[in-house]
Amino acid sequence: MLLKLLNDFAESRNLLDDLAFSPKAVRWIISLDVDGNLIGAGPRETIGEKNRGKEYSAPQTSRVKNAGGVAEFLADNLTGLFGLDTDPEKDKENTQKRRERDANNQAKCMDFWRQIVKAFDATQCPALHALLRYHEKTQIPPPFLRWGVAAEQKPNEKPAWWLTTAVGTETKLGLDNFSFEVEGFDGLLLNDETQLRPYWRRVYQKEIDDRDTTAKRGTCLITGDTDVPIAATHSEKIKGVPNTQSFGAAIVSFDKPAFTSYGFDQSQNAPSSTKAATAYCNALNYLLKQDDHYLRIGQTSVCFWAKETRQASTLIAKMFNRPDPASIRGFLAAPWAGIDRELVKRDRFYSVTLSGNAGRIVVRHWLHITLEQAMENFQRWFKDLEVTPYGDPSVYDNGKRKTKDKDSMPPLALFRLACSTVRDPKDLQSETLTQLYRAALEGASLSSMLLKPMLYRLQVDLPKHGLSVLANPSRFALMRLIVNRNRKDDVPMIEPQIFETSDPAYNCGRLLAIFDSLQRSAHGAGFDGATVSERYFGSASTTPNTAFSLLWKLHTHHLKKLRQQGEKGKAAANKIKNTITETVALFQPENPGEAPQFPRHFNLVEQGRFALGFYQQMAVRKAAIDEYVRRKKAGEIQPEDIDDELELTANHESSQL
Amino acid sequence: MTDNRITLRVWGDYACFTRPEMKVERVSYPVMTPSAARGVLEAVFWEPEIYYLIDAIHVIRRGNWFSFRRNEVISVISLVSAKTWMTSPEEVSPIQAGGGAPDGTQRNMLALQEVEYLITAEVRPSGLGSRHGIKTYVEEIRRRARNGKCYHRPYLGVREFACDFEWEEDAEAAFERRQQELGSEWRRYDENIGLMLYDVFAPELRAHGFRWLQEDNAAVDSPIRLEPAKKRKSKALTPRSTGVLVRPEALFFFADVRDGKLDCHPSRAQFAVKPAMEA
Repeated sequence: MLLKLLNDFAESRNLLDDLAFSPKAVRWIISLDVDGNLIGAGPRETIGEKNRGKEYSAPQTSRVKNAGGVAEFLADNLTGLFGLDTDPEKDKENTQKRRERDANNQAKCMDFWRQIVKAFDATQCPALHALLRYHEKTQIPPPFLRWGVAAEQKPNEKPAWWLTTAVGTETKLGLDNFSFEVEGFDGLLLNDETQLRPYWRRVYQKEIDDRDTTAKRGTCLITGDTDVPIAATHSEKIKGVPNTQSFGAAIVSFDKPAFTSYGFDQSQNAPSSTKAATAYCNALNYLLKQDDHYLRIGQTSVCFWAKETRQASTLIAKMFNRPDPASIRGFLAAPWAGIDRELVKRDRFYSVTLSGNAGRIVVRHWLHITLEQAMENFQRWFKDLEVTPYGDPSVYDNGKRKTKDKDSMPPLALFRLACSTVRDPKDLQSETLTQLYRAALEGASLSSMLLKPMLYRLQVDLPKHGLSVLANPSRFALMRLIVNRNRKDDVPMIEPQIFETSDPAYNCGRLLAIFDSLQRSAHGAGFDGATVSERYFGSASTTPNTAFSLLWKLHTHHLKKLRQQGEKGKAAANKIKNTITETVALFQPENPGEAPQFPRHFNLVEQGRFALGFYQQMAVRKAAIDEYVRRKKAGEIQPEDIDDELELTANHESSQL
Repeated sequence: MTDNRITLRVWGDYACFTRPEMKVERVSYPVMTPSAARGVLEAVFWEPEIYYLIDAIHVIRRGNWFSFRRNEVISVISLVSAKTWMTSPEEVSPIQAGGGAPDGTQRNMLALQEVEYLITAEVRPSGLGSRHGIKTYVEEIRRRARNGKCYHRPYLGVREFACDFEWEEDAEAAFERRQQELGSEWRRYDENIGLMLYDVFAPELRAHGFRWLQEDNAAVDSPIRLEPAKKRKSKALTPRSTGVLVRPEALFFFADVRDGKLDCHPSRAQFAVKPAMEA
C-alpha cells in the first residue's frame, strides 16, 4: 500500500516526465578548444553547496550500476573519465582484489568513452569530436591531477588526488564529478538542448525498452497490472535517509540468500513492474528533498503528503517547525484558510517514518488517515499544549532571542518540546520525537513515562536557574498534554489557565507556589538563599505530607516576619493567609487546630499535575506583578488601588532588577 | 454448506504478516493474510486428503504498530551442511547472528501488538481421495481444537509470534460476544487495504493436494532448487499420491476490511490475476 501510494504520488505530481535526466553536482568543468586541447592549467571549478559543485540536470543511465563498469553520459568522476582509481592504494596487499578493481575502473572508463563515440556517430556533433581528440591526446593521469600529499605536508596525512585548477591553484579532490565545455559552443555540453539532450532522451528510452523486453513478465503487486515487465532490481536508490550511504539505499532489495523465499531471484520475491518501481523511488526521493514534505526527526526521516491538497503538507511542516503564537492562533481559528473545504473532506493524509540500516531502508511507522482527521488531531495538539505564559510571551515571538539553534525555535516547535525532556539536545532519543509526532497527527496519547525525565529536569533546573526556568513554556505545555491525555475518568482536566479544582496534587502545587511567594515577600530584596520551592520542590511533589508538614511550620514564620513590616506587611500577610486557608480547605487536619494532612505520596501523573499547579500559580503572580509594575510606571495607580501585597513584592522585584 | 465450515478464534501478543515487498526490513500487513490463517489451521490439523479455504477473517483487535530490531543472519544453511551436522556435528560451525559475526545482520520489524482474529474456513476434500467423509475431518478438527491440541504451535505470521486458539461454533456470534466483553476497548476497524497477498499457491492447486517435488518430474525452468531424487526401496516405488506438480506463485487480491470483516473466499475475492477456479 505504501508503495502504491508513492506510485500514485509520483504520477499525480508529474515526477516521471523527464527521467532521462536527474540533478547531479558537477564540480569541475574541463574547457577544451575545438581541436581538443585543454584551455588553462586545469578544470574550472563551479560553485555549489559544500564543495560538491553546482547541481546540473545531468543524463542518468537506467542500467544497473551495482556491479561496476558502468559510466554516466557526459559527466562522471575521475574513474569514468580517466580510468583512475579514487584510491589507488586500496587493497595494495591483495593482488587479486587490486586486479579486479583496476579491471573495473578500466571498464568504466571505456564505457564512458564508448558512449561519447556512439553519440558522435549518431549526432556528428563537433563538440564531441573535440572530446574524443582530447581523450586521444591526454596522457593518464592528466597533468592537472597528482596523487600524493599536500604541498605543505601535515603529520599523518593520507595521500589523495590533488587537482590543479584553471587558475593554477591546487585543491584536494573528493568524490567530485567532471564534465566538459567546448570553445564555440554555448555553455556546457550537459545543457545542450539542440542535439545532445534530445539524443540522450532517445538513448534512455531505448535502454528502458530493452530492459522491459528482456525482463520477465508477471503481475505487479504495486499496481495490480497483469503481464507487465517485472523489475529485476529496484535500482534507483533513495537518498537522504539518516544512517544510509550518500549514494542512497533501497526499500525493496533481496541481495542476500537469507532474504529470499521459495527460490525466487532478487526482486522476483516481490514482483513489481519496472514502471512502478521507478515511480515509487522517484516519489520518495522527491519527498525527501522538499522542506514542506519532510521532517528530520532524530535518526529518522518523516515524509508526509496529502493526496490532493498540496498546501496541507506545507502548513503541517510549518506548524511543526515554526509554530509562533500568531500562526497558532490563526491555525486554531481558521485551519482551512485558503484550502477548499470540500477537498479536505474527501482527501487523505499519509505519512511514513523511515530510518536507515546501512544499505537498506527501514519503514518504522506509517499512517494514513483522512486529511480532516489529521487537521483535527493537529488542532487538538495545539489546544492541549496551550498554557498561560510566565511573564511576557512576546520575547518568543521574533525567534531571534539567541543564536543557538534550539532556542531560536518557538517554544511549541516539535524539536523544542522534545528538548524539554533532556539536559542537552544531543541526548535526545529519536523515539521521543516520533512519539510526539504521532501524538500530534494521530492524536495518540503520550507515554506517561516521558513525565519522569521532564520532572527530573525541572527539579534539577529549579535550584540551578531559579524562576527563570518557568519562562520557557514548552516543558509545561508538553506536561499538560501528557497529563491530560493520560487522565483517568475521575480526575479533572488541567485547564490552560489556573482553575479551581478538588484535585489534591494540583492544589499542593499551588500551595507550594504560594509559600514560595510568601517567603520572597517576607524576606524582601536582600534574600539570596534557596527559596522553599527551590529546596523542597522535589520532595513536595513526591511525598507531600512529609514536605508540607515542614513547610507548614515554616510558612507561619514567614507570615510573622511579613507582619512585622508595618501596616502594609500586616495587610499583605492577612491576604496571603486567606489564600492559603482557601487552598488547604481540601486537606482537613486530623484534629482541629493542627496542621492539615496532605497525601502521603503522588504518582507520576499526579506529580505532573503538581508541577502544573505550581507553574500556573506562579504565572498568575508574575502576571499580577508585571501588570502592577506597568501601571505604576504609567502612573495609572490611584491611592485607593494600592495593593499591599503587590506593592511589597513589586518593590522587591524591581529592586532585584 | 455450513457443515464443513469451521471457526477458530486466535489471539497473540505480537503478529507480523510480512509484506512481500518489504520482507527484508519486515513490515506487516495491517491484518492477517489468508495464508497466515491457513497456516494456523494446518498447525491444528492437516492431512493431505483435505485442504482449507479461508472464508473470512474477523478483526476483533487490530493491535498497535510496534517497531523493533533484532539480530539475524544473511546466509541460509545448505542441505549438505545440514546432513553433515546430523552425522558429525563437530565438523560444522553454525551460522552466527549478531555481535559482529560475518553472517550477522540487524533487521527491523514493524509488527502488530495485541491482536485477535476469528478465522472462518471451509474444510474441503482434496483430489487425493480419502477413506473418510468430510464430516469426520470437521469432527476431528473440532475435537482437537477444543482440547487445545496442535501438531505444532500455531503462530501469527512468523514462528516467533506464537498464538493461542479456541474453537468457536459461530463466527458472527463470537464476534458480537467479544465486542461486548471488550467494552470500551473495542474499536471498529475498517480499511481498504489494497493489494494483499492471498497465498503463494492458487487455491485450485490446493484442491489437487500436494506431494513432494522431485528432480525427475520437476519442470526444467522451475525456480525451486530441488533435492536429488533418492533411490527408494521397492515399497516406495508406488507413488504416494497422484497430485499434479505445483510451483509457488504469489497470488494477490484486493483486500477490503468492512465492518471488521475481511472477506477472502476465493469465489468472492477479487484477484489481481483471476485464478482458475475448479468447477
